[in-house]
Amino acid sequence: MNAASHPMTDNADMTSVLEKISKQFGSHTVLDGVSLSLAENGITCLLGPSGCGKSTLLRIAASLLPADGGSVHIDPREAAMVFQEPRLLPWLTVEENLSLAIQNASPADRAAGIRDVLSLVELGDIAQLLPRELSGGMAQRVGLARALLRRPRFLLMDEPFAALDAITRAALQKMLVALIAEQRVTCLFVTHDINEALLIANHIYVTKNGTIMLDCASTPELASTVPDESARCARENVRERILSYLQKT
Amino acid sequence: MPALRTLLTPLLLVVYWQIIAGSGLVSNYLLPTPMTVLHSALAMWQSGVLPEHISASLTRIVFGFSLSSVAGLLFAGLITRFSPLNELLAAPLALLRMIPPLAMTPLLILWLGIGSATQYTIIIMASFFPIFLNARDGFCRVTEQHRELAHSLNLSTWMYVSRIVVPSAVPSIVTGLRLAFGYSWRSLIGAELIAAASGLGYMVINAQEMLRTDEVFVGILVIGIIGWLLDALFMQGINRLLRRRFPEIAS
Repeated sequence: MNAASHPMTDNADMTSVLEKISKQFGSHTVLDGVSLSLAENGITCLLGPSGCGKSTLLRIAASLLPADGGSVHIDPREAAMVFQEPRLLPWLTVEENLSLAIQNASPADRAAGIRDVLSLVELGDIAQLLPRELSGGMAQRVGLARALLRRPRFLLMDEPFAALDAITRAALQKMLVALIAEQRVTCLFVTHDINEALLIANHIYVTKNGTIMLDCASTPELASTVPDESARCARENVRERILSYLQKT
Repeated sequence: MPALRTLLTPLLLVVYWQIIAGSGLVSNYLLPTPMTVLHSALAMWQSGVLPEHISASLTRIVFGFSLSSVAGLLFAGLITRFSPLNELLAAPLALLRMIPPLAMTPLLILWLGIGSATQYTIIIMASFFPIFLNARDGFCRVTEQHRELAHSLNLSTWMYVSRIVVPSAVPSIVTGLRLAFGYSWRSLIGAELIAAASGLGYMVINAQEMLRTDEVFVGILVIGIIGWLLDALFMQGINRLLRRRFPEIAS
């Protein structure tokens, strides 16, 4: 099923960002007419096995890679990217890395912005540290802070927690959900981890073989952040649907 | 302790030198003893001859090497930025690179005389290429990840160059500067041996003409010691300046 034909895309809370995107590397078709709509001010997960083209789709959405066909409705100036690795410049301090995101701000605004965003991602007095002096989780928080500093409408995240240990990952997932709700950002989150998608997403697309195979609507089961029994059961149902789809295809 | 270990081999060599020179097996004219050389060095220092020649060589190396560094780095930046320039200049640069600076001395004496202009030209010819080639290589070392990051952050050209391109090239630039300094110091001394009226190279050739082997030894040792000290100072400065941000250079 293509996301464009799903009733959810007509919902007022969904924003169409990619239309009929296709991409080939040599003779290998990676994406074949993929359309995507994102849950406004929420997290949309793009879930799929490694090599299914989900990162390629994200890079096209971020204008880091040109598509062979189709159209992208995301203005690169309104988007910020969080990469799989924190991608901090190793020769710059945390403060200098963050200031790259707000190069045109005055020094006073820059300092205030950096201070605020560091407290937002729950990092203390680390502005003068170098990236190699940070733990993996701290570095990834700085990467997220750098993206948030741009005050993006769209936050594009490429498996940002994949390399972290389970405890740090869980903490960051929780923080991300809270931040997205607080900052009112529309987030596209690529992951190959079903549990992660079920935990953080308002909406899930499952991709395989260059197309979107399954569109799991956001309401009511995924939108809930309340850790009650009904939400847990709803998530289990969605997990079953996703797994059975992946096994069938 | 590391400093002691560094000095141990030179000290052993001096002892060996003393034994050979003091044994009477070799004429003192051909191989003066370390003590004779030391006395000559002190006398030359007190008379002001040695400081004068050291000062002449150091002035030339400081100005010549600074000029060469600026030219090499700027040229590398230009060629990286404007690739057609690279294609236009590839052949003449490759040709020039293969000419030893000292081979140009006869021509430079004809054109510029035996003054400082000749020495500066030789220093620049000796040090330009290591600086230029290493910097050019370094400027091309920006990783795809960092290019993507710059694109996603919509960095201005100035920010991209100053925060990503130049820092990516720092290790290569440091290697180039260090190599170039050694080349330029050796070439300067070589040029002073042929075409100069002052400087350590001139002092050595002058001493040889006066049959003062002890003073020749003083000159040679001073050249080596100053080159060594300058290299050590350069690396110490680099370590102090870049150790935190570029630990791979310091190590």
